[in-house]
Amino acid sequence: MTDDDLDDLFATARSAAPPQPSSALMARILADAASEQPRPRLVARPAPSGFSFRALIAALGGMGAMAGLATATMAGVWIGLAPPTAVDDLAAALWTVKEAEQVELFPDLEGMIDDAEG
Amino acid sequence: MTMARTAPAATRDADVPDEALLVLYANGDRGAARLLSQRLVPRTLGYAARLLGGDRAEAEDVVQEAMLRLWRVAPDWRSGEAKVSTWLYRVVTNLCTDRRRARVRRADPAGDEMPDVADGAPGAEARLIAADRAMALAAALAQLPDRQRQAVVLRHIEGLSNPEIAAVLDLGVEAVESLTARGKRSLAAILSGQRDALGYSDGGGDDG
Repeated sequence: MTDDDLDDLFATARSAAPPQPSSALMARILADAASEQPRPRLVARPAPSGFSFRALIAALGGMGAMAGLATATMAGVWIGLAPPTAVDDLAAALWTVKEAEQVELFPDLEGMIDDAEG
Repeated sequence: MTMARTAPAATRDADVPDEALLVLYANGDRGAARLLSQRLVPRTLGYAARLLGGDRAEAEDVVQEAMLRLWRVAPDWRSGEAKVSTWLYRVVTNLCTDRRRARVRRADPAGDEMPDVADGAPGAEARLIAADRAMALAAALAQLPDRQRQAVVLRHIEGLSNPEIAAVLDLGVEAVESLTARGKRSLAAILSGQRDALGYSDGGGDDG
């Protein structure tokens, strides 16, 4: 067997038509391809929702926080409607404006302007 | 990315390189898988059948598995790193090697698996009829060591270049050259007894 003979053998093999894959094989391969093909991913955009109590509650810290808030709110309302005497006295003490001594921090402004003009 | 919009897979098939088709496939193009399969499957099927000694059913399994791996790797395919066909030859080569090893292991303890091995080869009658060159070549190839057979088939039948074969077999180019040279010498030795039967008696291979 010479090299030429071998090359001729190879040429014969090369020129032979490649085996045609059976349609069953192609179908199996394409089925694989379809199941493995990456789906185009849709990026979910948050729905433009209107006002939602659920969202508000979540933003404030959930139902537990809401319970505390509700208690504090009701306490405020109660104190406003029926203030205990201690609160009355306190309010009076806070709101009474005492005569404060006035301190002249600035020299008489009008005099200065007059000086500048004159 | 513009490729996905400007290359309708159905029309200019021949212009679109394998790699672009793979990208199209990864981008969700439905026609790309079909085109790519039509291009790659026949070649790799022939190659796998040669490596497996003509076992067509097993070759089909190998090719399906190799294509499955191609589909899976498609989204991560890095362009320019390897040719798609080279990559596929490589996967097919490795799968065939695994199968042959498994077949040897299976056949080893119990002799009853042996007919299974011979299944793909032509039967006794067919062997007499098909004393043609292709058959002789296939039979001779089957006797080569795995690496030699792979290198010879890739070089002389699939027509790959030595650097491509080096990439497929994960070897250096020099190792590939030596493998193909040794493979050819072994083939010549195996076929020497059949020279007359193959019509190479006098002038050798005329192009007829």
